[in-house]
Amino acid sequence: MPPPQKIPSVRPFKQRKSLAIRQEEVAGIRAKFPNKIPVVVERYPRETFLPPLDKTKFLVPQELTMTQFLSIIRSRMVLRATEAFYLLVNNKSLVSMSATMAEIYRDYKDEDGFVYMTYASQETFG
Amino acid sequence: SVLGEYERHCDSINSDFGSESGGCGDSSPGPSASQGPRAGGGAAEQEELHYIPIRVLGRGAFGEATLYRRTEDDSLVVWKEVDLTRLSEKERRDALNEIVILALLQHDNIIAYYNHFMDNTTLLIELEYCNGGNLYDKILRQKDKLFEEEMVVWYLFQIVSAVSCIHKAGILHRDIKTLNIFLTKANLIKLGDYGLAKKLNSEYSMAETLVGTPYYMSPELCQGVKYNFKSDIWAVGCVIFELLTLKRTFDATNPLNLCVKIVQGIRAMEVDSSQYSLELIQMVHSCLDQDPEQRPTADELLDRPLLRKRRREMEEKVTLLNAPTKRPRSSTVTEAPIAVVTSRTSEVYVWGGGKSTPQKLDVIKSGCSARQVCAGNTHFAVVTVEKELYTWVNMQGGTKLHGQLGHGDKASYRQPKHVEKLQGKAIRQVSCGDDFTVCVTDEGQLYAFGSDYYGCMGVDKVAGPEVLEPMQLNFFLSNPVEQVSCGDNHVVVLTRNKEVYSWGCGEYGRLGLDSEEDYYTPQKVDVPKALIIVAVQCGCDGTFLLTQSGKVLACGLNEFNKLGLNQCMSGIINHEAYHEVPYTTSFTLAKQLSFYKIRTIAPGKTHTAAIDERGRLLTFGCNKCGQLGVGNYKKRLGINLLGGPLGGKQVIRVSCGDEFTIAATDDNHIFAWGNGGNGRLAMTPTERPHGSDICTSWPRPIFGSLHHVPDLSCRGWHTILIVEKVLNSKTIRSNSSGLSIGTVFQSSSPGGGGGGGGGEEEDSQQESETPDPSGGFRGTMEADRGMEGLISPTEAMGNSNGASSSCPGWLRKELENAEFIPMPDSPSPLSAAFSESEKDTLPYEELQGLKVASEAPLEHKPQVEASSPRLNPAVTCAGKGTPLTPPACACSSLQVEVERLQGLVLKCLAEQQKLQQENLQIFTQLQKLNKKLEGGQQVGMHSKGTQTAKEEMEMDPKPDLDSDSWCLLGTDSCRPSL
Repeated sequence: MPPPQKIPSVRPFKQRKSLAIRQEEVAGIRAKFPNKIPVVVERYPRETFLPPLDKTKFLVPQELTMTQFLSIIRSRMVLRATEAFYLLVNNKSLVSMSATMAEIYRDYKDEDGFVYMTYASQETFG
Repeated sequence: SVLGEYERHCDSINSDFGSESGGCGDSSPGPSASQGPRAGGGAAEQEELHYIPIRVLGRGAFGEATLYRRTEDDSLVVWKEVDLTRLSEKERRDALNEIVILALLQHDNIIAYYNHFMDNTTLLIELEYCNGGNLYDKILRQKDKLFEEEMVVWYLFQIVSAVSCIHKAGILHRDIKTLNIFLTKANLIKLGDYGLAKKLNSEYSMAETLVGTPYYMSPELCQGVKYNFKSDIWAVGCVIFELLTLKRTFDATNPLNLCVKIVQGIRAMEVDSSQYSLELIQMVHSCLDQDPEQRPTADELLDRPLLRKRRREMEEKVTLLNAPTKRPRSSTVTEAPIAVVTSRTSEVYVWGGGKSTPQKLDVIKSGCSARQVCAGNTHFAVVTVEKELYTWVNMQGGTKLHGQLGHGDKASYRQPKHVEKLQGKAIRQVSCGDDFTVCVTDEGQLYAFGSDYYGCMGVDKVAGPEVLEPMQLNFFLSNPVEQVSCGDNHVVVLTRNKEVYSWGCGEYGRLGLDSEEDYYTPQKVDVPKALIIVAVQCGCDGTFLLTQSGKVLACGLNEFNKLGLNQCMSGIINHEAYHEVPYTTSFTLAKQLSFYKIRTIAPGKTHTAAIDERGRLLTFGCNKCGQLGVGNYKKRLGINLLGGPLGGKQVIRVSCGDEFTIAATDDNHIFAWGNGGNGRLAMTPTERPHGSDICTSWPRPIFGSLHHVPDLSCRGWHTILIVEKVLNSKTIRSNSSGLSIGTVFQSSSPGGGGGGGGGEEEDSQQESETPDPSGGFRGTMEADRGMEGLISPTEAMGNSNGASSSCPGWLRKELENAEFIPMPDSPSPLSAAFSESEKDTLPYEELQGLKVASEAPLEHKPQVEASSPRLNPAVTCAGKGTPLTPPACACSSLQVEVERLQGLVLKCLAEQQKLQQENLQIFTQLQKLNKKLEGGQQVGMHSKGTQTAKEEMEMDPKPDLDSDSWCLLGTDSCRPSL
């Protein structure tokens, strides 16, 4: 593969929208879909290998496990089995793959009500 | 001198209208010569018209009918070929008869005559092409499903108004049948095939010869009685009866039996009276009356309440539907057009996606050749010259389809398949998105099909997640579309009044609507008023607009500088002087490109190519696989002007896919460069810059032999292109002998305005190409003489193989005669129709006034004023109240004419002054607006600098819509992503 080029960063979701707007959004979607977890999935800013996703906001069923969610995201990116892909919650923690989305939401939800996840091709940053 | 002045006026007015100048061009060379080249009339002395044969449509009694494409205006025409040597004297006369008749008839429901040529002994008649087949096929296609009454009335009205027009011109069609009634895709009726038509000198004369198709023969014909206008009405009745019952009105196993049935009036079946109104049925029965006298005339039919109450509405509809194909006749007295017929092979090739050998498509070939191609990520679409759409899949794997082929299912058709759901729609342009397709018809209507995941159907997602059949987007019903372009997940449209609309996925601001929201209905894009947008082009996640002055506006993701929005200080390549724009949500001028006048832009996945007005190729964006064509794989920050193999060549077409570029030059080479993986380049490149990928960084010629490329499209790993090879080219120089019938007719009328007294109307009628059914019939009376004089020279020519042109001298003589011969008593129906047509044509006179006002040289005014005192007494003599009574001498009618012209010129001058004043007002307003706009722009620029301020603005828009752009996982509405 040729050396990947640096992609100009797109501002993260949190910076694009104010807290109030995000809270309103979560409230709206939770009211419509009480059984779904609002998740924001973004690319790690310095990620050079993985493609950007076409959507950032995801509504995930509560009972979905992290493994299932991971495979959904992988398939959306059309990644091959050999390509590494990690999902980090709140930009730092690698969570248990068997945890359900409900558990993750309970433990990691942001003040605005979203769960923030970042994906990268390497498990450690820096 | 009065006559001379009158002629001058005539000429100047005629030439202002851009139609045939008044015949006696040699007597007044001044005004028409000084006009210079004009659009409509073709002022060039030897007009060259270029034609490309497409296919043979059929074989008539006289010869082949071939479909041609006229390259000047990209229209389709039919050439009827008549070999004069093989014909008997009588048949030759019939062929000429047809031209004469066609040239006489100008009506929206009659096949238009455009031109004719002589190729040695072959007479070629250029006619309008009707792309919707004929009524016979239409009835067959109906498959026993009865027509709606409204549809029958619509057909009936058109047929009757066409018949009324030819009858007014004193012509019998003599072969009205469903096979001779043609349809356009817009359901417009065109009466055609005048091979048998005969001109009658008066209403009372009867044509005696037994002609016509037996099925439509009237009882009097069966009994050997003479043919007259009422026999045509009988045939119309048969046709309508056939429309109502879908069966032949009279049917039998042998002609004799048929005749018996016709005479006895034993119809094959009766009309279903529960389906159709009594009024309609009675109307048909009256046409099928055994007694010719009892049958109504065409005009009487039009006057029946059934047609009368909707007449205006239908007339408007006819005019409206005719507008796109309408064009002025080209033949004039002075010039005989030269036809250049170039036969070409036209083939469509595809490659990529694993296959590096270009594959020829068998379905789309000569005879059904392609006019426009478009590649999508999963499918291809082709528009043929006959404006039909073909789609098929291009992918290798089993990716699921979302109905983007428009065949009504989700099956993967691997061969081009005609989109039958668009039957009857003339497709002008198609564009493919990721998993949807959008196409534009000739009328500017938009049809979309495929996935509505991002709302690309533009109907606010009411049609469900997948639209399997073409669906019209009603949003553009009253605002016709000029051009459409699709990105991966968004659509941008340019309308005829130069407005830009966008909808679909809004990520990175690719819709140019100042937000990243998705929109599910067309949204108007704010474009600075001063810029005239001429083209829109979507990349996968960005959009380009081209302006008339060659500037480029872009929005969306600017990754790798693929929109060309980054600013680079000239000459210095360091990061301090390089301003990167990650993405932009509103249309921004690409300053780097403003040095060039861009005419074409082709966005790829990571890079973009553009062609400037001088045919030079420019590239910018990512270069990691050499897709910029600059000879290396280094990162390029600015715009690259391609030299190398392309240096000095004019690039005519370019398209960019995923990491590769294909370009075609005017010297018929095709070049490819970039990533060669998966057969993208239709060749095997040798360079391996990064180990695994095989690339080429220089443009390399591909495709072996030389080919002209009319259209080319790349997307993803796929390429589709049309290649043409010129087989031979033939120039037909028709000798402008007596065959210029159209001109005889046209030119004799202004000069011969002496008769009839109704001369007021005819100028405006002919010059403005009105669809008035009664148009030009008085001219017909004049042309009677013209034609008798005319046929004999042509016959002579047929024998002696192109005698030199006898027309001008003869014509002049004819015209001179026409000045002084008083008009013979016109038959009564004609004059009656005249008074009718007077008020009909009034608006056109006004139109004329307007046109003249804007163009007429000022010198006319003194002329007119000088001549008016002289004429005044005469005018009063002639009397204003009696314009309809035929004046006793040519002189007084001329004075009436002059008086009319004077009034016209005065009106024009007044109009002109008014217009000038208005212009001034508009101009000042425009300036004011421009100033305001500039101010506004500056403010806009300012706010962009301050990021925080803009952030606040962005956050405001409705949170409701925002929540719709969620991706739902694990529910039914989720797109199957596994």
